[in-house]
Amino acid sequence: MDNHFDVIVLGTGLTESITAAALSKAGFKVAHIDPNPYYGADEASLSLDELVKWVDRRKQDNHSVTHYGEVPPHARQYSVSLAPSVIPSIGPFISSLIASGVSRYGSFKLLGRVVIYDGGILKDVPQSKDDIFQSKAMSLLEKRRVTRFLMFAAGEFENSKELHGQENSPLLDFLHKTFLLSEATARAITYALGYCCFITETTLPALHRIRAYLKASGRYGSSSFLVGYYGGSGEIAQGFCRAAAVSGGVYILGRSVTRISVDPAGPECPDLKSDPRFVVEVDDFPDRLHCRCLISSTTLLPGHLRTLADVICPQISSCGSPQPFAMARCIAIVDGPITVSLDTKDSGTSEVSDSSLLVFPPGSLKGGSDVSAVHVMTAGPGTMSAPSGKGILYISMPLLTNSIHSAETLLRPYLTAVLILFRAEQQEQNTLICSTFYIQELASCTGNTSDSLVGLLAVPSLSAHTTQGVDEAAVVAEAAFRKAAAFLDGEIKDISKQNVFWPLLAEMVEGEVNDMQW
Amino acid sequence: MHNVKRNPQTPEALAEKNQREQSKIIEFLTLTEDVLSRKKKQEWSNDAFELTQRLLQINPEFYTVWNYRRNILLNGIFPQSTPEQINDLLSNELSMTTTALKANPKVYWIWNHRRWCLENVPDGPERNGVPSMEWRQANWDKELFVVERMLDADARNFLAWNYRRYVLANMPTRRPETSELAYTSRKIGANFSNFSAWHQRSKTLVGLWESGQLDPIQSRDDEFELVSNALYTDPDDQSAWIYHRWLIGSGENKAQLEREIQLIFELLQEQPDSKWCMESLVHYKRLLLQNHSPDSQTLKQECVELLSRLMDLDPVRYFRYQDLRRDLDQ
Repeated sequence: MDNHFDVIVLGTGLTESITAAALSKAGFKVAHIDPNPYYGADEASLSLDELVKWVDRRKQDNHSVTHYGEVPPHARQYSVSLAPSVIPSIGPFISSLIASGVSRYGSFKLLGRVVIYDGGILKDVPQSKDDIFQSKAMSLLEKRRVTRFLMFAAGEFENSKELHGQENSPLLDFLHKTFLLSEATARAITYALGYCCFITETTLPALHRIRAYLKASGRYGSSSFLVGYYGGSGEIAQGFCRAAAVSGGVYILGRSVTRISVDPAGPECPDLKSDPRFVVEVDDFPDRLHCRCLISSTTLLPGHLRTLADVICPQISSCGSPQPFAMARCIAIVDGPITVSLDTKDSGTSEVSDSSLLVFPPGSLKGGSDVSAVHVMTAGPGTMSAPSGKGILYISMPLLTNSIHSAETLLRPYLTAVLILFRAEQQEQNTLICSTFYIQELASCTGNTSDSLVGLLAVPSLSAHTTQGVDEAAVVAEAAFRKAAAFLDGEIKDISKQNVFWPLLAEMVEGEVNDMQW
Repeated sequence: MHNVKRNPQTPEALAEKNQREQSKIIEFLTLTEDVLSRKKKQEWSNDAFELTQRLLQINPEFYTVWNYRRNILLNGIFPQSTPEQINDLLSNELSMTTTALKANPKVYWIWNHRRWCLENVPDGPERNGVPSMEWRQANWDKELFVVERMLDADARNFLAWNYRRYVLANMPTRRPETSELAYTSRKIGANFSNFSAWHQRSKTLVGLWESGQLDPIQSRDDEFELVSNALYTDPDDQSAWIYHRWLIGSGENKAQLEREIQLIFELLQEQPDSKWCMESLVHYKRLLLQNHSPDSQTLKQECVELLSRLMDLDPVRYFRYQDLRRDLDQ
């Protein structure tokens, strides 16, 4: 194997994998390394036995985790995601998914239902004029005001008089004062249309999200979001890796990087036009790998290089909105149905989906958080994530600061509440098979102000935001791709090579239909 | 197609395209001549039948050939067939035209042909020596199904709504009107900006009121409640306002009229630029004047004020509002 590459990518998380695929398809020689024996890194989709091993490793590394229950039979039929998320139907991520051809490697379906927990029960969240018309929960006046808000949010609000001066005020206040919405409606919009994490989140970034999601609705169906089969993100990261491999990328899984040295001087290979910059040594690997450009997830970069790297931060700015410090997470495997039945819509044709999103606003649950919004995502046989009759619940709570409480203390009230809600709906027994609680530390994304080492790029791990995370990953990946390509091309001085993020798929030019497996 | 390069049409390419089209044109003209000459001779053979099918597949709007096809069936094929065979033939015609409809949903002649087929389905099959209505029932049921698919695809296709009324009125066993009311509820719920659905609802309700299946007073109140949801959700949507006007009718019910005026007034407070609110208020207050309080100066004054506001808001109809105002002053 030739050990000289244009790029070496460390980590097969979603962002890194998109970057690797783009560079590989653009014609660069890519090597992609991950210490785990699976793709996806911290966003991987794991079977239950792999999850148990992951739990054990975490315990060994002294990271927080608690695990209860026995692994059920058919452990391989479960695909558990370490980073549950949904895909907006319109956005940079889905565009990348389609343009790269990776959408053909996976299957997707619409997110079933978004509901909000309010006053002890689950309520539908109106997403369109027709939802508002049919709602039994709003007064006539409220309906007028909500429609007015939705029209405002779907339009060009940037220079509007309503928004003037309010961009940084909390969204909840904006909705009360400017649109005169009731508290319940304002909560539904803030947390289940704008998907805000915290009670103090500001208006402008939330409005951007609301507009994006309103426009996304209708592209594939009434929901604004898609979910991936087989656990979502990890499966998709693997798809991008496959795309990179198909274009010639080399994959090394299950080996750690033991040393990275920077080698600017001294040509070791005189037949190369330019000097290799980085030398990467891999555990139990005879040869050293050379590359001109090194891209790594921030978690895998050793400390001394971390400060020298050009960290690429997502440009979807939060201007004033608080960023989560960590996420408290729970993965629960449940025996019994996890569907939330549709009561108001009488379309007659749609089947009940087992992929849904339950939002618990701050302060909605006794014993829960007063500051953070908690998301509960369900996944089941409908997305091949669990065998028939079983389901997976993902509970995530963004934390503003380091919490003295364990993930379990924070999340158990929500788990209990959700199980009671499902039991009430289905009138069947719903038992917990096993559950895992842990705190996921999030790498803070601060760029380096000092000069970074040319050719060394770092990308943060997938943002924990349920709806925005994958779009941020795509934006970061594209920025990383452009920087790397510009750098690599600059060295070759080959200006004729126009670097498009995703070159046209050959099949598309021939007129073949690019069909997705729905 | 996305990402497909547009090949510039060279003169050679254009000439080639012309050539290919020429042969198609010649084929079509030859076929047409053949078919029309047989028609002239009043030929009712199976060969002619096949030929009409080929021709109609190319051009489903050729109504002369549809007529010829029906004549072949009536004069040539039916006299030699058992009732069962006739039923099969007609069912076949219906499936063939369903395919044609999907590609051409607005060609009247295809709809026409279907009506003719449905009306000619024979009585049968025989049950205990007596001909039943089963064939008819099956075909008409399928027809309703086809119309429902068309309305699912485009709920505002008035052609399809019209055809739906034809089917419902002519089915051997009628569907209950209450189920039609539920159907309109579903369509309105899915998208309340739909004239045809509200219109169908009004027709269905009249039937239900006259037959006594629904109490007109309670039902009207229920309808007012339903339409108020539409008015408040989107005061710009005409179909809801037109339905509301139909519900008010000639304004004999004073309490109802006053209640609705108050409701619209509150909506106007919330949405001060709503032209429809103002217009409706003028219309309904005039009904109050005509039917119940002919001497009320307050009402007259309120209307004049509203009309003045309308003249500013909707200058295109300035003179109409001015006229109305003049009428009131008298």
